[in-house]
Amino acid sequence: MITTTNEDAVSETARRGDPDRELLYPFRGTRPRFTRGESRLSTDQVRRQVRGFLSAGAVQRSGIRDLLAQEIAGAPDPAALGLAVLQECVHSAKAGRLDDAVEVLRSAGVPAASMAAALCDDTRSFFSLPEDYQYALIRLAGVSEDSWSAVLLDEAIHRKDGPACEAAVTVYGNRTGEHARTVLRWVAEHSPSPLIRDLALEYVHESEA
Amino acid sequence: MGTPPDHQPAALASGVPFPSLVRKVDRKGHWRRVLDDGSDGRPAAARAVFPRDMDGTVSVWLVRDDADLDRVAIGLNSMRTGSSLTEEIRLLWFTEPEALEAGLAVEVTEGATKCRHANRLHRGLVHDEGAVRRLVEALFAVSRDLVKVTKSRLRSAAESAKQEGCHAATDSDLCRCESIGVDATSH
Repeated sequence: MITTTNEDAVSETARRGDPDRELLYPFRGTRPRFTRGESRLSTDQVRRQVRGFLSAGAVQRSGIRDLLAQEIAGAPDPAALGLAVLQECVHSAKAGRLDDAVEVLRSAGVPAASMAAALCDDTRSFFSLPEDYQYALIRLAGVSEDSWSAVLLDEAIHRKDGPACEAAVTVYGNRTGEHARTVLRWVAEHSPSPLIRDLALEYVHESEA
Repeated sequence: MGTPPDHQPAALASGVPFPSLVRKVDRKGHWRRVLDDGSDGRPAAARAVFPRDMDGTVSVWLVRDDADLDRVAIGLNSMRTGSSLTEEIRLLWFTEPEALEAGLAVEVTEGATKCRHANRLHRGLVHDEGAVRRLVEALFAVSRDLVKVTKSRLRSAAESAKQEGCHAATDSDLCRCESIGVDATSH
């Protein structure tokens, strides 16, 4: 006979994740293989899969990415596995490795803000992370739909310099509409960095062409 | 690849003189920040732009004209499974003589994109830390900047690729990319 105790029920809730936590990791893309918490992929296994993804030809890539994304989305702590993806991509020698990191994390529905929270604490701010981490996470914030990622993107723009601002300008440069152009014009006018000013102006001119 | 050492690149059609080798750069800041700020970041730029792959090479592409450049960009975007073929791309270009003069050997290797034309244009620079450093120094000495393949350019490139049945743009069995790029391996 199967009995269900309160403890079992609590464990089941923890395994599946509570509804608020689900909202933090909205799955976007193909149908998930796992309910939240069911995937048991270790970070080492994720690293191996990411290396396979980065080395694969274009034809095999989408299959590997979808499988990886589903495993991450179904893990008890997607942000922890997302960090493994980010680390593996940043340290890869493949051209396009930062774009690849954003692509996998976006497919898995891991919000930038949750990864930023996992990387930062009282002694380490987001803007003191290694440059490519900041860049990739702000690019991810640009495609995340939660409000904390939007705050992170906004903060990056207001830095007016550095890799996070470079990424934020790229995010706005790939958006259409007057708001994006206004943001880019503001950065082009206020940034102390020739790189950031040129980047912003480049997008403004393209949008007006 | 038989470009003579005294070869003068052809007229610029897209900011890249032909023939050239191009390398995709992840972030404009990886290269441009050093151009703006001076020499302090040159070793970091070399590591970021020319990292050594597991097979001991650095992946680059030979472009001989605008059509090659477009197909390489489309091919690179075909590696991005979740994105469109029109994602902008930033490239660092240099000539084969510049690579050879720095001490980098260039090997003909097959690319792994969905575009067969682009795959025939793939080359591997045999990674050597000193040679990479010399190339980077030489490129910074002439203030070599990155070029960008824009979305608008890629829109028409994607359309052309589609009409030719390129596997990067369509599932067609009538891909004509191989006949277009048939002489690529002779360079």
